[in-house]
Amino acid sequence: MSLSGIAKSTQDIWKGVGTWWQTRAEALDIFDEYRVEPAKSNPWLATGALAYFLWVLILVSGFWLVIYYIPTTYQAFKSIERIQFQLPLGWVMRGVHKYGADAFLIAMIIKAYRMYFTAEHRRPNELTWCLTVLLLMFGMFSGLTGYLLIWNQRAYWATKVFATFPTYMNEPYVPELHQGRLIAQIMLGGAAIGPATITRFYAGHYALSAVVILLVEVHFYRRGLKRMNLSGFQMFVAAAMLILVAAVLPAQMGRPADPSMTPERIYSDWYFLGLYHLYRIQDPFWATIFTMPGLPLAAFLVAWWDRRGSTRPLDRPFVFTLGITLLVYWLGFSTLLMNNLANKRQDPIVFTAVAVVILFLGAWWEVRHFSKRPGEPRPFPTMLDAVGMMAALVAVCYVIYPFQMSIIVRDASNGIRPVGEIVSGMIQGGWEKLRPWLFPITAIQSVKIVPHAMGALPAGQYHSWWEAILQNDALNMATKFYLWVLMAAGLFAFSLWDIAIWRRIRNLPRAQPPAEEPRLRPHPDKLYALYYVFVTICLLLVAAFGLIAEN
Amino acid sequence: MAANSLDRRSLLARAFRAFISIPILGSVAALPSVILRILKPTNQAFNLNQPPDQPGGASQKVASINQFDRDWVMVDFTFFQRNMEYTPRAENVSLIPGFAVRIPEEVVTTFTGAAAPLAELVNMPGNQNVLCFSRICPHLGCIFNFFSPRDPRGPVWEPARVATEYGYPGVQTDRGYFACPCHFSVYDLTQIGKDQTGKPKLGLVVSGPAPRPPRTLEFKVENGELFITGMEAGGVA
Repeated sequence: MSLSGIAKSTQDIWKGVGTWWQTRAEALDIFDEYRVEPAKSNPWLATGALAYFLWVLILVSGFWLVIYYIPTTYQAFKSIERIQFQLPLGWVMRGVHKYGADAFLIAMIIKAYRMYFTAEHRRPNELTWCLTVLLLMFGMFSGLTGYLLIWNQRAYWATKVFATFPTYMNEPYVPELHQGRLIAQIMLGGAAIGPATITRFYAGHYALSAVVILLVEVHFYRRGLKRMNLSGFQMFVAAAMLILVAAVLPAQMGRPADPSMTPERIYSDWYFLGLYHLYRIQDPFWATIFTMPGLPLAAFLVAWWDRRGSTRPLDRPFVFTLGITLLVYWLGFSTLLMNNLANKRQDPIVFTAVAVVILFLGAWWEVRHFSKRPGEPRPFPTMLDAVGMMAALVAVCYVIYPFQMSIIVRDASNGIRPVGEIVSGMIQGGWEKLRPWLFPITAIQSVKIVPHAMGALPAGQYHSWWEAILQNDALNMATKFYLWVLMAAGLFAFSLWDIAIWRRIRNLPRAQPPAEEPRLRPHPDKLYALYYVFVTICLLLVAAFGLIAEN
Repeated sequence: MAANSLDRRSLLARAFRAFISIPILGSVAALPSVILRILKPTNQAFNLNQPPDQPGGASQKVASINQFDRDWVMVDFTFFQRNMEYTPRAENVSLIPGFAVRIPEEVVTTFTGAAAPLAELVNMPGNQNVLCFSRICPHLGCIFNFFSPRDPRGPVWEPARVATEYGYPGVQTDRGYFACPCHFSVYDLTQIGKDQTGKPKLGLVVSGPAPRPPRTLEFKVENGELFITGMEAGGVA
């Protein structure tokens, strides 16, 4: 290719980027401002508008709080005590600010899941989707920075946990740059959480929100759009919801921060609980990589890889399964952490195994759903699909297995690969090394079962085999690996069984679907009432969690 | 040919533009660095290759060396660490809780595989096998507890409790352990792990998510008194 050819193709690329940006920017619909008509019969489509209204409420109450709040380590807690208990209607303002922020996040989470399940993120809405995810992250960041301003025990220690995450970024990349510690020190304004941290977080909390809403306002102004697709009555309901929650469950204070004493339990904000649980059971470095660049990037990419099938969720089987799994895991992890039920020894293995099985079934569903080609009577999936899925599963297990081991058994954290272990055992002729892989069952004998003992037992003794296996002491690594293989074989058998069923029914005459009766939709007002009840219940749950977390 | 020469001319123009863009791009690239210098308090504002500041502190007496008359004796203390901040006081004093522990001579080695001389590991003064640890957990910064045999504080701090409450079944009752209440990391004080740079270090993580042994405090002994002088780098106080 000549130089002019390169220049021309470069120009084409830039032109393509320009067109892409233009079409996506035209389709931008961050707060559901283009959904005025459909939202009349579907309250979910007014979620963006609700989020924007809540944001305005947060800003207004925030400006009021700024007047009385003092951002120093000595006076922050006292000034908030004064706002809450002495100033007239202070509790309302603080409640509206805090619960408004919680409700904003609830609304943004509802909107993100709505976009995900109804494929609203597809072309040309990729930019809308990315901005929604970014706004959600921005809301979380505002919550985090705002939380420290109270300067109570929970806030202090949660911030410490949060500020320690980036230090794990010191290890990869270029160690001389000290990137992890630099990020932590820039965030905290020094090497420790102190007066500089509180002013820094205050500035970030205040300025970021105001600047971003200015940008959104400019967007609305340039398009000549109506800001909020809500009736006056709906605004009243939303505001009343916040005041009601603030009256029923006043925003909590906790105890003032004490840097020399860790509280019994540290709770992050409710939307971080699931991720925080991940940190408890994962290797911190991988948890950092997974959480910070990993999760948002994966969320952005959904807009590009989910393109198959119609926009109905059941017509996108794998995406649907993945979404449900993530939702259930997020809620489940949060519940486990709230009730302090986490078990670091059994959780990683159980959760990973369950997720792998569910996602395999989701992928299998996808294969089956899309493998009937037009004009071709033969229903797939074929044996080839089963073998391919099986190979993928084994590869996944082979990667996951050493990770799981390194999290649970510290002594064995050298990334053991089962096949590598077997091969090296053969080469070095070490029978002791080879034996557990050939006869994995021999390792079970070291466990003693004491079925009728009360309370906690000493090392090596268990109430039942099930408990011993779950605690990861009954089985050696070889046995656990073979259990993974057994699980893979079970899924493979499932695939074959599924194929057999499809072979049998493929020649049967197809049943005619019954004529569809028009579905009666309930009255939209009732739908809206239900919608606000749902949001209020979510908010009450979140507020109740505040009671647990602070006391 | 004409088209070619035109191409060549435009090419030269591009090359010239590329050449003059170098200093401009360089300045743009240097800008974040300057901004970072402003955002991150630092003692040498214009040294671009300077690593993050290591907070210091005045030499501080925490114990008398005579207190460590037998193995597993522990003295807890608070070290006042000072770091620079762009605030009116120009510095922040953070409280670093710490433990000074006397370690028994016979240390089980796991990281090196060979029995390493204890003296090299703990850098102890004289014949006292005392080592000072920061109580800040290297996992996510909580403050961990000490469990040891024959602890004068009573049975609440016996190692057996590490098995029942911190989920580490391999506890041996004649060893000392650090155990963190937040995420249940357990450190065995008789085994050797490795720190971030791969150097052998006492306090192997035997259970839980912590990535490396606890950080140590630098100390010296003068006239039979134990003085803390500084802290190992990394982490957030």
